[in-house]
Amino acid sequence: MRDRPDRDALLAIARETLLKDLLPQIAAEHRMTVLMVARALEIVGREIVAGDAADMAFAAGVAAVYERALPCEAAAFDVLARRLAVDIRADALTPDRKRAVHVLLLAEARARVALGNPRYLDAE
Amino acid sequence: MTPPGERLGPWLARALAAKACRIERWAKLGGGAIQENWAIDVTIEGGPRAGALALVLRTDAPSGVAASHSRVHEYALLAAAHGAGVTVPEPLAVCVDPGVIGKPFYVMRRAEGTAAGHILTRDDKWHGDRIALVARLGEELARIHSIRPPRDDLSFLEIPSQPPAEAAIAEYRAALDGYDQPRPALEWGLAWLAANAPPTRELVLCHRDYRTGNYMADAIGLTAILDWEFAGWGDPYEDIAWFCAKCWRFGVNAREAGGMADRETFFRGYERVAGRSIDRTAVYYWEVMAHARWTTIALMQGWRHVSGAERSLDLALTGRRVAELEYELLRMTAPAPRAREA
Repeated sequence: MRDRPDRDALLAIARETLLKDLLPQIAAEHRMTVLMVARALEIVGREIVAGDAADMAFAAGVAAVYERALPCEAAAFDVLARRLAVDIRADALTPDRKRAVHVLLLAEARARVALGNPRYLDAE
Repeated sequence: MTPPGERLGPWLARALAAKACRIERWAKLGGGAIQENWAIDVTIEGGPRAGALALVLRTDAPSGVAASHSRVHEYALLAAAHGAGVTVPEPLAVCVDPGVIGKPFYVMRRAEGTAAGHILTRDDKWHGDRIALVARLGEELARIHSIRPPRDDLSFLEIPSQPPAEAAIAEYRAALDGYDQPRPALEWGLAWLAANAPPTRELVLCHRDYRTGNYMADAIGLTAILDWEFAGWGDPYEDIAWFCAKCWRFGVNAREAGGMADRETFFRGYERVAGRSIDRTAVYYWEVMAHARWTTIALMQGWRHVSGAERSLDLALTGRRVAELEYELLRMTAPAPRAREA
């Protein structure tokens, strides 16, 4: 049985304490640093909740572009991503593949923004 | 630098053709890991500048790497800009003699106001009329771009041997080659840039960091264009687009010119002084380049933290900005849709 509060709740109360209890007492020249710490905690919190779903979707997408089976090891995924980078630079993708790759990269980047800075997407 | 020693006053007096110079107050200014800035108030006796003078002394920080000439070059750039009518802190004197404060330095008049982007874009009390300020910034940029090679006083600036866009793409690809992760999104942006480069019609002095955050304004308006350390010969559209790029609007995206006003106001100010019209398509291209450049810089700054070269929360979070920069880069460079079959 897991102890409680769970990791998400523990992280949330740590961030809340930092912003609500500590920040008002921090000297002006250190406030930005405290806000950066809070931001880092916020990103990590969202990434814990999201898990590796976005990475898996991207891996599946890259594998599909190359008509390969989905790699189950991170190293194999890295090899595919590297090949994608090399092919993009060499302009070695067919127009259809290019369109598919763009859709894939855009979705992956959007997923990363949603975790790192979701407010950025609010402004769209 | 230790506080300015007893040799600075007499040196300043000689440099400013005065009888004497008394240092009244000095204080280290914040910011700058490579440079060190000191606010110095002096009283000048005799000569053309007699009276009270508020100065900034700029020199290398202790950790600065073998950059003994860079402040001298920066002074030359500032002097060239001042000569072209650009609103910069008036450069007053440069010193290469290590016997005065221990290292080369220069002094300039101190500009007042704030340069903080998040303040300027959100608080109107800081800059008078925001629209007028942006038009003025367009005019100022045209004056910077009126400086053309060759120039004896700027002979330390290398004249590029390849088109500026090509050189930039090669530079960012080389940076990626030294990075330990594949970055297909940035590669995508660079491939688009390689395929769509417009010709560079003229080489001008580019500021290379002309954006909100690098000029100073007070309650009335512009007081100084700052941060000349990246200046070099390049394509004028690099600066025009850098100012307008979404990544430099401090979140105020609707105001496309630096988060301050609409871009046409900025363009009109530029066109008025430059006497030629701005090609909007070329601006778009160079805005894509701006995102590729900032993505590369953010990757490298994040890497400085990750590699352990310089552990810093600020650098770590800059590394995390890569996601939104790559996202924007991809949004700007979508491939043409598939042609409809007949």
